Amino acid sequence: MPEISGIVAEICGGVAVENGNKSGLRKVRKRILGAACLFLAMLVLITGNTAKVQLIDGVKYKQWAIAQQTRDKIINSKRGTIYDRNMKPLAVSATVYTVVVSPSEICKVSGRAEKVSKLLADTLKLEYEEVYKKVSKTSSDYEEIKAKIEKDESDALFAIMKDLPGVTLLEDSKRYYPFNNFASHVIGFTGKDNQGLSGIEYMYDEFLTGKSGRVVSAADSVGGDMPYKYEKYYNSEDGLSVVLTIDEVIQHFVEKHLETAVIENDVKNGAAAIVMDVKTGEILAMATKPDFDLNQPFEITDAATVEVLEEIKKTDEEEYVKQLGIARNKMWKNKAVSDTYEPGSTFKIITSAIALEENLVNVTDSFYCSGVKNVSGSNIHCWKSGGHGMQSFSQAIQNSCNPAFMDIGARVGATRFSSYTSGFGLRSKTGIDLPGEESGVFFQPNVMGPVEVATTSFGQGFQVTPIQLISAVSAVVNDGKYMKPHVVKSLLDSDGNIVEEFEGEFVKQVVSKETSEILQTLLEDVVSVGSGKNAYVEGYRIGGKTGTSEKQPRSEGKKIASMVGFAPANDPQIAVLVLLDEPEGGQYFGGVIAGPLMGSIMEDILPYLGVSKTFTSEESEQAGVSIPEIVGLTRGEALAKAGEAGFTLNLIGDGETVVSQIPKSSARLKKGASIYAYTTEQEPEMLTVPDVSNMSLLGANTALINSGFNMKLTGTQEVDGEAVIFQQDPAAGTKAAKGTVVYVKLRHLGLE
Amino acid sequence: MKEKDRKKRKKGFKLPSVYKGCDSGLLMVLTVLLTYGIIMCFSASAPSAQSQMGDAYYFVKRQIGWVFIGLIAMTVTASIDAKIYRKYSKVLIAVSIALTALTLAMPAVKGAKRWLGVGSLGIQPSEMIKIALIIFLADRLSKQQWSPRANNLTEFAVNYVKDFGKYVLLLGIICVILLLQPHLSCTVLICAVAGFLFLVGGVKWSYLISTASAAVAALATFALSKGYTMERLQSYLDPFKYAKDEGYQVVQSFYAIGSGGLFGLGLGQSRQKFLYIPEPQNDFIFSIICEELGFFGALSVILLFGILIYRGVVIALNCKDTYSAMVVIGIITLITVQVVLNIGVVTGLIPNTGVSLPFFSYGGSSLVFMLASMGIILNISKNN
Repeated sequence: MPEISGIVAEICGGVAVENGNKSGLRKVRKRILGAACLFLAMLVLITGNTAKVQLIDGVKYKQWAIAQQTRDKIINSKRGTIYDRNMKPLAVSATVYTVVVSPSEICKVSGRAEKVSKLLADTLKLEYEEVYKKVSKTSSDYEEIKAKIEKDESDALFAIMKDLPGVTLLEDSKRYYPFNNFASHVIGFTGKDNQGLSGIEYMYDEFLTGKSGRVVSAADSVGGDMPYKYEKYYNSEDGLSVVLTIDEVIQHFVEKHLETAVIENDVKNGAAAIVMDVKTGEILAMATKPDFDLNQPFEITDAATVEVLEEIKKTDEEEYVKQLGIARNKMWKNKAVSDTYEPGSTFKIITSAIALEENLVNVTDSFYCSGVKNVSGSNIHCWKSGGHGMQSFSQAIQNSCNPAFMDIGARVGATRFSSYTSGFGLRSKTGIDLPGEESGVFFQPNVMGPVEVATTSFGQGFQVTPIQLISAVSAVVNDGKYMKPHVVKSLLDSDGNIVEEFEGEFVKQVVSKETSEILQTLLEDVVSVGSGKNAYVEGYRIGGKTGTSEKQPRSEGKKIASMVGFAPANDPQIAVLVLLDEPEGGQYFGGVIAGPLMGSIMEDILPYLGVSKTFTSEESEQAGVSIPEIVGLTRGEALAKAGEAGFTLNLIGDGETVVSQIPKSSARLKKGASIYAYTTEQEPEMLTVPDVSNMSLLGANTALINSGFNMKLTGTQEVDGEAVIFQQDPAAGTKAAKGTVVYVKLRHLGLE
Repeated sequence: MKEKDRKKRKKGFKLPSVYKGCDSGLLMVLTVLLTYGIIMCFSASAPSAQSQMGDAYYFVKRQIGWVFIGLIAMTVTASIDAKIYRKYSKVLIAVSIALTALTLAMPAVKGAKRWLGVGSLGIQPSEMIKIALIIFLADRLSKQQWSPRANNLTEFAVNYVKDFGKYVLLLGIICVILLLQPHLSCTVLICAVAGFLFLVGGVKWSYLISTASAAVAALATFALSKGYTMERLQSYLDPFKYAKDEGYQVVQSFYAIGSGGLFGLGLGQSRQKFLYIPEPQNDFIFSIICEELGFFGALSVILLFGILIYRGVVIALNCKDTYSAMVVIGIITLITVQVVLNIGVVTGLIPNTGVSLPFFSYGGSSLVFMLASMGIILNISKNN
């Protein structure tokens, strides 16, 4: 400093300067000093600005810099599996890859974009132009080429990875449904990001999803590693697996029979069926038809709808999109929980339960039906024109007689209807663990006049969901105990340990055990001799109630045929509800079309559930006599043995001993049936099975015997009333050995 | 024993005799700046050298080589009497203008024609023109006789042409050539240096103001005729909006500076040099210094330049003749303006022009000419 202060003093202090040259130098020095001040000012300015950028704004820059310098890698958690109750996988996740590229990286070398695009397009079966468009976006660091590629494609890509700079295969997972359409409405499906969109996939999404983890690490601008060790792990947690109460086998039976019924009866508006464990509230099966493929949930399955949509698409794109959405939502709708309907006569179970519980009716009470009843000035008809005449309470249920139930309903009255429907859970959602559950619409007691009470007693004028009704009926037959319905049995962690178990939730004692037992008997009679007899399966004690409801608006005459059944009637284990919405196949009575469906389902699932057959003496008699074993006997011995058992023996061939017989000895046939026995080694004579459908039992028997067959009636053994053959096995037109037993099933007509 | 050793060691290093009597303060600060510069150039360049050249030492090895060449040049100029250049000032300026003009015939590198020669051996004659101009102006202005005050506009115009015309013409020619290269930052630097020399040299305010306004008007017209000017201006005003393209460098520079905080991440610990800041060893090396050494590191750099400037000003003030004083202040101005422009750009104060930071930024020509001009100052300081 001393030297400059000296000079400054010299310049400013006016030290004498001798000559002109010196005075010029002095001036220059003065100006240099001025310039120096300017320099100082400039340095101060940049120092200040550096301080501002570094220390004040720097706080936020630092955050942004860290965000830029760290790489966030998401570790996807594995989505849990959905199992049936026997641990059969119904929805599984598999590792797949999503192909992404970094165009900025690829385009660093010219000509590489074309090469990479070509390889990708060929391997992934994509349009080259499309791929190139993405790959050549020089400014982008991330472009998705194809999401969730299948294994063969990812394997092919991994093999040529060295030729694909800037291409990354990101691990992703994809949901597979091994059984496609199976239980589609219950299981549900997931969207692009594996998020549950419907069914269990949606309802239990948070459990199934798990928690995705992250790795945060330092990265340079092109995503490479930095030499600093900065890595932080956030562990991922795999999703829980869901074990359903659904039994894959039962669900399969139900779906098969429901599908058949839909086709046979030309059901226009879909169908639903539920099988419920009455003791626990577990849903063993729940089906809605038509269904859809869970692996392609966005494809409309109904051919007619697709056609209509295509037609709209030609003219109005906007309308098409709208209609497509509507069609999809309709297809995805779980009819069993999301659709409400008027339960019709199946509701008579509830009416009866209330009346019995409140001692308003006795089994021995008698009712008169003239075919019509006048309630407050309006005539309400019975389904049977001409009426049922005098009948006991038991018969009234068997007949599904409306006037009788209007009388009973009048005894129950609005208030009791109101409180009991609450008790039976018909005024609120059941709370089943499925999305989109609807609640029925029931009369408020104050608006329930005599007419409303009258229609309520036979199940018209209000709406319930199938799940509400089956839960209520289950309560009636389960000693009056209402169990909350549910479809998830337990949640498992990735090691298979039970994390949470959902046991039967007892909600309420709705009616007494006594009432329940009376109804078990009454309802069994409905199936054995009443309107439910088409659901009869020999050897099983099945109870139930059929229903045929008129849809709104009544003028259109559209119907819903349904039936609620349960078995075994003396100790109910399961309840089954079937519903056919708008059958247009000619028959629409619940007893006529829902009854046989109920029977078919029961016939398959009761043996599966291990329910043993029990025969009453009457049933045993109807079952017939066992065919004797005559193979190995001499002609004489055989004739004697067959005659003794009450069968006609036809000996074929000229051998001395019987070598084969048809039918075999295990079959049980009514006395008088023919046994065909061969005494020489020969192929049995093959005959064509005649078509006996829609024949009377007698006519069918004659036709079959004349054709050389034996006939055996299965299902209902009731022969009174209008009934025709409706199923036969072997089918008409097939070849069968002479003497083969053709099993036939009767279908009673005119059963509401 | 120990004393002998110490004596031996003392004898071991000896400054070349040409530096005898030179300003020791300036020599010291130069030594510190060069060492500091090499260290930081290495730290900043290592990752990009590794990724581009496969050798982390690639740039620093060359930079050290240039430092030696520069030191030789400095020794040479320090031993040549600075007054000798006066005789050749016309030749010097003519040759540098010719060489600079010659670059226009050379093939463009990264869109600009600034180099003579090939590859890393290429030199930028525009570096030479800076010194030649300083010597020329110092010589001319110290001899300049100014016309008396004009009474009317015509007289003013006549006087202007007579007194100042040649300077404006010379500067104009140089600027046109540089803008044709194009080399905007060099143009700005040369205008700034010339302006300071005109001020110090006692050019009449009336001349300066009229010329400056005309120059600014011409420059503005020229700049606006170029499409990218507006984009640059917009990205200067809001770099984050253009963080992907125009504003990229500045935004990345902000990130680096901000990351450094008060004390920095530590020497060699910059993250932004990992391919975030393009060529971190060049114009944006200051932001890497900020990131690694923090605000105190930044302050040390500015302070060192402050000392250098201070020494320069002291030497200039102590000069016995106007010419020498003007040469010194011209060179000091050159350094100061470069430092201010560079740090101003890096911290977002000034639009991005592309000025290197003397002694720190990687680059041969500028370092050699910078050290050579330091030699001139050192020589002048000997005579004070």
